[in-house]
Amino acid sequence: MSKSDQLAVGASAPDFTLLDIEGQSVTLASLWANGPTILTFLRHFG
Amino acid sequence: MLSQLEEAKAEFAAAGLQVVAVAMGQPKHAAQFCGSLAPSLRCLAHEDAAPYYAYGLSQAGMGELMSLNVMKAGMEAAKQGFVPGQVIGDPRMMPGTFIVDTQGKIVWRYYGKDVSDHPTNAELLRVGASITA
Repeated sequence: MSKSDQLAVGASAPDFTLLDIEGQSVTLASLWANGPTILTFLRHFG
Repeated sequence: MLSQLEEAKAEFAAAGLQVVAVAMGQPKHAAQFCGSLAPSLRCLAHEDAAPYYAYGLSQAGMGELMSLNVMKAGMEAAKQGFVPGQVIGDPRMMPGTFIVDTQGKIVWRYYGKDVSDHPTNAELLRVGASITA
């Protein structure tokens, strides 16, 4: 991972549409709009 | 990481922080994995690594996959009874954790030094308290 690719504090968090456990689409922006959000990226399920 | 976050769910809620976990896979994989390890957290699935790359995360190099810390973390997880199941996603992806405010700005970020490296709950709560105060 290049450090130059890392996001800086103060940068806009990229928004994505993902699927919840029910298969419903959820945008990240709709979540953080409700409150400060800890967003953690896991290596994998399992 | 998931079970660690689940342990502090009450503290995160009290601090006004919501926790969202992202991994590659399908909703059924998120339901299986998160349902057993972290039923109170919101788990989301994405079919590919695009969100990872957008957040500056990429595949680990050999040193980040095979370090002493990674081996120690694996042994610690085994001692706690964690048995890896079928791996869905990409175990070579580096982990990362971000705190995002209501305006969509990154107020804190943690890029793992290796694939087993995550922030502690205490660290997350300390930062979270400072932005929700």
